[in-house]
Parts: sequence; structure tokens; C-alpha cells
Amino acid sequence: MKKVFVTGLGTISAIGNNVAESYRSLLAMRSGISAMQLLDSNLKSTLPVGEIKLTNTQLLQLLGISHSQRIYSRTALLAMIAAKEAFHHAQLHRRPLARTGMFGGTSVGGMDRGEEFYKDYLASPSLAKIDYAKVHDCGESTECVADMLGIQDFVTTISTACSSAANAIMQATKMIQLGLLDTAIAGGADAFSLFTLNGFNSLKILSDEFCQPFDSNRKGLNLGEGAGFIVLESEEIVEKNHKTPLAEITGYGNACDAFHQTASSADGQGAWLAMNAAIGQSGIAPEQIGYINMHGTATPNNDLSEGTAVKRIFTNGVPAFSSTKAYTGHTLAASGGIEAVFCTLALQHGVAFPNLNFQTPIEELGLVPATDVTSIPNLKHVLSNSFGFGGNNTSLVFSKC
Amino acid sequence: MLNSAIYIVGIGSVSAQGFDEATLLQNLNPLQSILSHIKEPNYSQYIEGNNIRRMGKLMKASLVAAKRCIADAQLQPQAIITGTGLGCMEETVKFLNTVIDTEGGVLSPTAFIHSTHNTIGSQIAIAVNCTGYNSTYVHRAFSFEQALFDAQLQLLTHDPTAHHVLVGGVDDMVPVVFDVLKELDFWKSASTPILDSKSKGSFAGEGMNFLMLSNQQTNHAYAKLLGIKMCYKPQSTNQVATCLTDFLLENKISPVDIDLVLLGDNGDMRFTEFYNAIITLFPVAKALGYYKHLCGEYFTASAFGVVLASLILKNQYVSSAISENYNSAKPLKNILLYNQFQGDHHSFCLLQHVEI
Repeated sequence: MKKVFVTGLGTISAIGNNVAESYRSLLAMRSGISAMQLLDSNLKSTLPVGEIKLTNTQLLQLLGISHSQRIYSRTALLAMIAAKEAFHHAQLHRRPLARTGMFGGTSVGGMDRGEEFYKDYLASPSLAKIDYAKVHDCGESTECVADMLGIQDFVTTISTACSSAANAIMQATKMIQLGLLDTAIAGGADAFSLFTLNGFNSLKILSDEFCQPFDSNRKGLNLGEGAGFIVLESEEIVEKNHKTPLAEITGYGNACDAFHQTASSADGQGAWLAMNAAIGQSGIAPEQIGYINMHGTATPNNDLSEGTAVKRIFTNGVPAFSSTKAYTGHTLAASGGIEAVFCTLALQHGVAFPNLNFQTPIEELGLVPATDVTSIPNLKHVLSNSFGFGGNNTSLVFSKC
Repeated sequence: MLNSAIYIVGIGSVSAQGFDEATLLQNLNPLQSILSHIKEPNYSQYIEGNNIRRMGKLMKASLVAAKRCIADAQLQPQAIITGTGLGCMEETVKFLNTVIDTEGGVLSPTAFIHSTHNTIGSQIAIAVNCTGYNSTYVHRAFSFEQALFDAQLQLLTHDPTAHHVLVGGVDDMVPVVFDVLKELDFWKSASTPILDSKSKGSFAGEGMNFLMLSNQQTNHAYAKLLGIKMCYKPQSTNQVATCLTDFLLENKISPVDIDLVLLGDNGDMRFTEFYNAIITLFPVAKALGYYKHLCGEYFTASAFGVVLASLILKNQYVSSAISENYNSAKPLKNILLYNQFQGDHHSFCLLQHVEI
């Protein structure tokens, strides 16, 4: 099978509008969690979130689109910004595209527009904005990116809740490994909507304080919004164009917990299966993983279950680990894409990013995450976990090349 | 590269035609209405009481189709891949109603929990205790095709533990979606026959169709899946025709080897040119078949087409409800399916008869 390299990164989240800003925030231990300003919710004053403080008009400006007749969902705008950055970072705009695929992950797609349409539709169907309904579905944001970048060879959208972007990256990697594509843009995007915010609130897993992943006193998650995309290229293309790749994707694993729609099993069996498959495929021993970017949502259930599974995998000692969700909030389907960007940065710079807000280890686990920017000399392999509702668990291994 | 054999070894179908796969081919009735719903099975045979109350129609009917497929194949799946254009809209709308009424209040989470697109695949995994690969494709009229394509990759190359993969295409048609698509000119204005129609628009439908794919032939295999190919937003009908020519070449099949072309034509005159461009690639006497008049139009309607094609190959029988010009004296070996949606999403699928 062909090797698959990461050659471009792009992200936007509460800690930055691009990769450079995000990296600076990561090093400065600057969280993006704050009071809601743009989303007009009655929960505004009680729930802190990882919100991008740019209106849709400002996001359009960031894209250089001044006069648009087309209606974009916020998810599509975030996806376009992050994917465009990755595309340019990989210099894909400088030459004709090889066989290129677009792999988007999203959980609610254009729900921000959909719910606005639906509210008007309930009041008076004939007055509701039909153009808003048109961009509700999940495929729309992916097609906005594909059409903007001129990608036609393979265009797909995956929705496996919070592992969507990780599965998009996995599928893109598979197709390049098999020689079915040369290049891919893969990742995910999710914007805030009242639907999502109220949905997570109804599950009673949102914290009214800054979230504390892997802390004994964690109260739940902070929602976030954002997008993260990476460019993947085959080794032939990388060699042909004399590129220096940023990282290699050496392993992936996808498994289903098959336990409960919104809860993880106590022993984290699905998580264990996904991590075990990913590490196994990369052909390394667990000890060779130098940093784990955890799913770490800061809900009581996820962190205990994930921590348990990690201890079962790393029987000779758990490596440096952290959840970066205290920075960005839980960006749902985008998280695997944003964290793929963070994992590549970690490998490039030989660092583990801190797990903000950590104070007390979870008693049952006794695990202490990295609490400062930690230099890891010789960091060769990074594991990234993305676990979704429905037990859709995916792990990726990023390796130095 | 993707050259090992993949077999369709089980089917499960809930559609406007009912839910009895064994007699489906013999009892096909063209739809009469501009909006046709599935014939709902008795869920209590398949789903326990609490869940019957909790789950929406799409989820329940998908579970029935998946379980019928597994029972038909007599094999447990080691991976589950679902395609759905819009996912659980009934629950989405239900939860949206409560959000609009009492935003920020204490809401029941049930509808939200069942609203996510991957609920279907994960509930099936829970029901049949499958911890293997699980994914959900949600890309408009490519949703089922990409699930099928992923299953093919899974079986041919990657997972040495996955020999049997359950693949489904599921969508229902809730009132608000029907209304929106009506506003967008998707549907005909009057109940005229879908085929031979010189009008724009189609008829709405829904369905839940599952296939069990295996890299091992069983003694009741339906067909061999030779391949699947998609063509996204082509510039012209020529580009679609070129895509098909490439697809046939990749599979070493010549147009003369195709015994039946099963078309997803939905009677919308605005897109007839695409079907005509495909038809002209085949010899004049080529048998043509249709299926949208039996299931209606929806994002994953092509899955119903693949179920029909599987049954046709196994039974060596083409119902006159599917094809009017089929020459029954000739054995059926290869079926080509072609579907397009709104001119943007085009897909081809090749199935071959299996000698048992």
C-alpha cells in the first residue's frame, strides 16, 4: 500500500482564525472559551462556549467574498475557510489538481439556516426563506468547499457525530493508499445552532464553568464551533513535486462500542478496539506513541471510559496526553479535523499541548495529563482519538517523516 | 486493483411495495400518488416495546430491513455502513419544535438523541452486537453509493476480519421535506404517470434497503457486485457518457455484455437528456428497465434499484412492471444501473449473475 502524507493544514476555531493563530494560542495556554455573543440563545448567560467571534458577514470577508447571491450556512463558511487554508498551505493552487477528493465531516451541516427556515415555516410556510432550507443538509458544506476549490473526482460527506472528521480523514487515507486518488482534502466542520446547544443541554452534559478534561471534578463539556482540514497526498505526488511532508498517516482504526446511543461502555471497548487497530496498523508498539491527543470531552462518562481504555492499551505506562477541548470547546464533527492539525503541529515541534484547567486526577484512573507545554524530544508518533455518540469511535496515528 | 469478487448474499427491503423480498418481483405495482410512503411492517416482531414507542419510523423500518437482511443472509455482519441523504428528519423536526417553543428550557433529550444521522447505524450495531467498522455517509444522492463503495473497499482490501458487511440506504419523506422540495420544483404538479411523462418534476417516495455483502460466495448469493462509480456535477451529458465508458472498461465489460440497463429515470423531463445519453451507448435492442415509479424519488432510492437488480439476477426474471422490452429467452448475466439526481449526482453500478 502507498504511503499517505499530510502536506497542508487549515483550521478555524475559538482559539484562532488560522493555523498560526491557533498554534500561538496553544503555546500561550490561551483558551477560547467565553460567554456566548453571537448565538442568540436564552442559555447565553449560563453556558460558556468556544465561539468564533466573527459574524457570517465577517467570515465571508475572510474568504474574500464581498458580494454573494448564494446563501451559505455558517458550517459551510467555516469549512471553506479551513479547507482553503490547507489547500494553499499544500500549494495545491500552484499546479493542476491530480485526482483529488473532498472528504467532509459534519454532524448538523447547515442547521443554523435550517432552524431559521423552520421557525418561519411554522409561522407561515409561504414566507419562509426557501434558500435557507436548501443549505440545511450535510452534503451542502462539503460541496461548497469542493466547488470553491474545483474538486470533482470524489466528493463525500460522513456524519458519525463527533468522529465525523476523523472518519473523513480515514476514508481519504484509504483511497490514497489504494491508489484510487492522489490527493485529498479531509476534515470536518460544525457551527453553532440552537438545535445543537439545546440538544446537548437536554442531555445535561454541558458545564456552566470552564470544562476540565480528565479532572476528578469535571462537570461536563463546553460546546465549540470550528473547522479543521488537512491535505493528504500520495508518496508519488510528494516525490514528484519535491515536497517536504509535514507528517505521515500510518494508522487508523474504526470500531463501534455497540453499547448505548449516548454513553460509552465502562471498559471503553469501542475505544480500545479503535486505538488497538490504529496502532497495530502503523506497525509500532504502544510504547512508541509519544503523545495522545485525547477525545477528552470533560463529561464524566467519556473521560472515565476513554481513560480506562487508554490504560488497557498502554499497559507499560501511559505516554504524555491531553485533551485540547478546554481550548476550543468540543467542536463535535470538526474536532477530529482540528485535532489532526494540532497533532501534526505537535509532531513538527516536538511538543505535547497542555490539558487546561486540570487540578485533580480521576481517582479510578490516577492519570495526570500534560498541564504545561511539554517538550518531547524525539516525538515520532502521535495518537488522536475521536469518539462519537452511537459508539462511533475512530483513532488515527500521525507519524514523523 | 479492486479485483476480488464481492457477492450480495442477503437483502432486506422496506418500500412502498411492502416488505416481503421473496415476492417483491412478482407483486410490483406502479405508484399512483405524488407522495408514496412505505408499507409499514408490524414492528413488534423485530423491535422490543420500549423502542417501538421511542423510535421514529425511519429508525424502526431501517431496523426491520437490516434484520430481515441479516436473517436472509444467515450471516452476522462484521461491519455496518449506512447511507442516508437527510437522516432522522422526524426526530430533528420534533426536537426543533421543542427548541422553538422553549429555547433554553428543560427539554426531553429523546428526540435529540435519535436525531443524529449515525443513530441508524449505531442502533443496528447495538441490536446485532456488532463492534466492527461502522460509518454513515450523508452526501445527498451519493449517500448509498458511497456506503456501497466503502463496503467494497472494506471487503477487498482492509479489514482481514470483515468478511460480511451490512450496507443500507435509508430515507423517509416527512411533510416539511416534501413541502420544501415541492417549493423547489422537485415534484409534479398533478398525478400524471411518472414514465412517458413530458412534464417536469417527479413523485416523492421513501425506503429502507439493505444488502449483505460478502467476499465469500454463499449458496444463496443473489449477484456479484462488480463495481460502483460516481460522477459529480458533470459539465455535460458527454462527460457522464465518458464516465460510463471508463467504468465499463475498468470492469472489462463491453456494452454488448449488458443484458439490462436499469435506469433511475424519475419522469422529470428536465433530466431526460442524461438518460438518453446513456441509452445511446447501447445497441438498439437493449432491454431497458425502470424502478423509480415503484419506489418514488428520494436521496437513497438507488438502493431500491440495487435490491431489484439482485432479485432479477437471482430469479432470472424481469417483471413487465420493470421492463417492457425485455427478451425473456436470453439468460441475464449483467445488469447496469444508472441513476442521476438533479443533474448533479450521477452513479453507475454493475451487478453480475452468480452460478450457484
